[in-house]
Amino acid sequence: MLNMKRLSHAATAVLQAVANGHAHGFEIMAVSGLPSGTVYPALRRLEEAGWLDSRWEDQRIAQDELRPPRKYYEITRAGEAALAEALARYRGLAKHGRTATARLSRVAGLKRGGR
Amino acid sequence: MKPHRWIIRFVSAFVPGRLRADWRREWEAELAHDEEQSKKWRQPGKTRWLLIRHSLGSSWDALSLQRRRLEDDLVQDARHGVRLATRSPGMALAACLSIAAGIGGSTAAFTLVDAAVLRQWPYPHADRLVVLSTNITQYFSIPAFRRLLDTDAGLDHVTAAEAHGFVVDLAGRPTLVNGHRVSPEAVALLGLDGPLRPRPGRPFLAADFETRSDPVVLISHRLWRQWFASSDAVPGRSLKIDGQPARIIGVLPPEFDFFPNGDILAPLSLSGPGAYKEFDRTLEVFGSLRPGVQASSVAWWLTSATRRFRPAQTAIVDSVRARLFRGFGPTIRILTLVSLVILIVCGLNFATLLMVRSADRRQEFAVRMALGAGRARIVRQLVTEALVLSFAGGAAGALIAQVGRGTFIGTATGGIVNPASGLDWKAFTFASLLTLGTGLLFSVGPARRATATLDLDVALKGGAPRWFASNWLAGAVQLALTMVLLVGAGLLVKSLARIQAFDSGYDSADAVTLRFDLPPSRYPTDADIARFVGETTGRLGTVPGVESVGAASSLPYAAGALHMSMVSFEQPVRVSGPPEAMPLGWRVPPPPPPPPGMGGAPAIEFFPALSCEVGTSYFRAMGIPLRSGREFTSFDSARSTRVVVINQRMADRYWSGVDPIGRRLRLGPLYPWQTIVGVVGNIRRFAQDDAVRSEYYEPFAQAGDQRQVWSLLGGLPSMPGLPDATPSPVMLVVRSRLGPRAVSSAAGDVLREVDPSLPIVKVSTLRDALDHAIAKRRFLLRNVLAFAGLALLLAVVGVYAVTAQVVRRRTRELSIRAALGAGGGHLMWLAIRDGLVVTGIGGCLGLLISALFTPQLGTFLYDVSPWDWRTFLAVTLILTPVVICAACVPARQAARVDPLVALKSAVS
Repeated sequence: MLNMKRLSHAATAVLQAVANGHAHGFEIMAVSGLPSGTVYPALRRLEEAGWLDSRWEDQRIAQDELRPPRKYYEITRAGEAALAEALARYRGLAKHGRTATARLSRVAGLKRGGR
Repeated sequence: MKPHRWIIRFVSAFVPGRLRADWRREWEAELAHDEEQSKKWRQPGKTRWLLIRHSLGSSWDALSLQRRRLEDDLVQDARHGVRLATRSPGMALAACLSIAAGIGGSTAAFTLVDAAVLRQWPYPHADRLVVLSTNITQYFSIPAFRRLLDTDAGLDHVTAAEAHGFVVDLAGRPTLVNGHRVSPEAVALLGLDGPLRPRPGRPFLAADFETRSDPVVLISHRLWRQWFASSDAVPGRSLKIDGQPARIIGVLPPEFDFFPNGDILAPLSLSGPGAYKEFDRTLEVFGSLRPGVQASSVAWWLTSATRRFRPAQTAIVDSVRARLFRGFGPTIRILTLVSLVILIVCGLNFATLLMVRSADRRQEFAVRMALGAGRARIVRQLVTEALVLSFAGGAAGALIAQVGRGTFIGTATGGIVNPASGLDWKAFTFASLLTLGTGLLFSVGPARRATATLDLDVALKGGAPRWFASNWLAGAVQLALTMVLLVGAGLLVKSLARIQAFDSGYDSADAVTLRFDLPPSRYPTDADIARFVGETTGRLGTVPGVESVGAASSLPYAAGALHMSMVSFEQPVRVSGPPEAMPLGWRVPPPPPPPPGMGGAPAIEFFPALSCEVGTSYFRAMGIPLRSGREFTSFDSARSTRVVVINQRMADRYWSGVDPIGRRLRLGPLYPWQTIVGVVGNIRRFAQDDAVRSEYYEPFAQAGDQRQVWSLLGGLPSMPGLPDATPSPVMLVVRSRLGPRAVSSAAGDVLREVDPSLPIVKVSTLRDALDHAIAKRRFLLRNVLAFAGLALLLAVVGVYAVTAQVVRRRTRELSIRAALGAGGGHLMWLAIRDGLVVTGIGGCLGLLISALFTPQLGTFLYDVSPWDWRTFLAVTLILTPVVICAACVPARQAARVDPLVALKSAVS
């Protein structure tokens, strides 16, 4: 199970993007501005944690559009809860400014804690 | 194909197999979509670049998936293997141990071969280093060395080295440290200014070799560690060496082993006192062949160049390395062969155990195959499991080989090779590869066989498989090889027993030997030497705990001054027995030339005999029995009648049935007559298995005659081992229960009174010298014996396992037989019958292979034929009952089979 505390900015962004209905990898990359090397590992981890679900696109639709079927991701219930919580934390971070940043970094298990 | 597709295809190879197809499909679909989108509003070149960039991100994705590899087949199989191993630990342990033994043995043999043959020597011209010698001696005098330097024979860096016992004053106590003095070219030849630069410190400089310069020395890494605790401040410190202060200028690196057992390196001055002494042969000469020059052509050149001075002399040019390792080449060869045999035995044993185990799991395989697993999948699983076991065993074996490496190599090479400490990566790699190879070689076969004959219908019902014929083949080969090792060990044991059964002729227990080398500068005449011997033996004899002290110029198994002389007798003698064999490497010396003016006299007959000088109570101290007559006394001095004591062998040979006491012998017409006053027992000087030769002893006090006469005759070559002006060796035998340490400290006290500047060159015991002489033999014997024992154990385990399998496999048949009235004995016979056939086949095969293998033992056998039928018979007689017992234990189960089992399984 993916640790909540380790839900990174990137993972949160990916989760948010999926929640917003951007269902496949390159779309997520496009809306989040993250590179493919970040988005895909995040997708794998989120899926493994049960926060995302994936399914293959219907073969017929793909065939009609003359392209291979894509893998679509959608957020699960647990994923929504996790996203809400993460967002709340990041909002709190914005409100409390620097002190909160320090706390968050410590909570996030980062090596270097600021003051 | 487009580059981004190539990238995806390449990266997908690193994705765990289970996820690979899906992973590739997703990425390809995404990139296709990306391409489509991009084409609409970007230039084609930019699109391609973008796609490449995006596709490269897939490598991060692949990397993030690596941890899921743990769930992959391979790991799953391995886990399954570990689980199975823990479920039947006995079988797993047996398999692991057999691999451990095989790998351990082979790795040990490999480290030995590596140390002796493969290892790169650190010297700059390692493969071209040669040592010069002649057919007469391997030592050169300084004038001869200078002539060599002047001859251009295709050698570079011609270097002289002189072994020297440095007397180092260590806190007021003179301590002997062996080392060498080397000529200036040694710096270049041995790379002292290059790869083997002293650390810390500096190499010798040209100025260090000048006669008037301050003495400097380099010390070995070992000495640095032991005496100076590896202190960096050592260079610059001063030591009192040979009575004068010498500055330590550096520490040789640990890999410097050109002079084994040497701890000090000092400059050799070529213009010192010995510079013009033609007979003062103390230098060993080394050089490096110029590229493209053959050793044989150098030898030819040197021979023709020296022909003017020494017509009978031929030069020999030998590779340093070859000479160093010639002595124990056979040991290495036999050990390598033996380790190969043991590896095969272990591998076969491993395979047998695997087959037995997979036979037990047929039902499991059948179920899996019924559920759709391919045969390849099951074979792969079995092989993976086998590899898990073999690596566990291999690690244990390599570890053992690593731990015992130093002692093993040291003993095998007689201390010449001193392996570097720390992990030997080469051996480690070798062991890993060997483990992998062995594991694969001996597991694929059983795995394929286990699944090949799988009849699903029968197997699912738990029925019996068809018999694996090759199982027995493995068993037979294993037995045969075990037999080979046992026969080899048997022959070696017999040889050693024969050698040890020889009576050495003296009492080797509780006898400490001390060696002194009396320098000619302070002991120029025999009277001086005799005085030294008299004083030291006299004083040492009064030390409490010392029973008796004797002195001699040569002791058994110790170099010294032992002569092969030609003697003539006063009265004609009747020689009984064939001519005596010369000691190895000795030649019959020429009889002395007739004195001037006696050329026409009737020819005198000369007979060879060994001779050495001894002190007064020598025979008592050595425990050599006096057969008749008397020993030497202090009255046998330079002024009294010349006397000798002969050994029993000489008495028997020349005066068979006559009393030799009172007869006279001499070395030639110019020598005084020497009267035989006593006969003592024979001793063996060179080897326990050597012949006994005629010998006579002279008192130290009277030994001067020979040298005086030689100088009178002039031009006669000095005796081998006793060149002019070399130190005179004196060896003391101290019979005492005090032990070497106490005796040498007592001797040190005595020396302080007699000659404070004289060091004790060597302290040993007669027992050690004896043991050392058979050390190589004993080492080989111990190893072959250990391996043979191991092979026997493995054979027993193998036979046991196979018979147990037979019993299990035929339980149903046996129980039906039991139900029909077959007795226990009959059932047992059925179970072991096949085993006996295999034992027979394996035994015959073993005898055959042994007969081919044993001549390899060559010189290690003494007075035993390599085809000694008694040994072969004995091994057969030992092996057969052991194997039958191993088969009988599981067969007893067969006798106790319950007929109900048969009835039950018939119903089901």
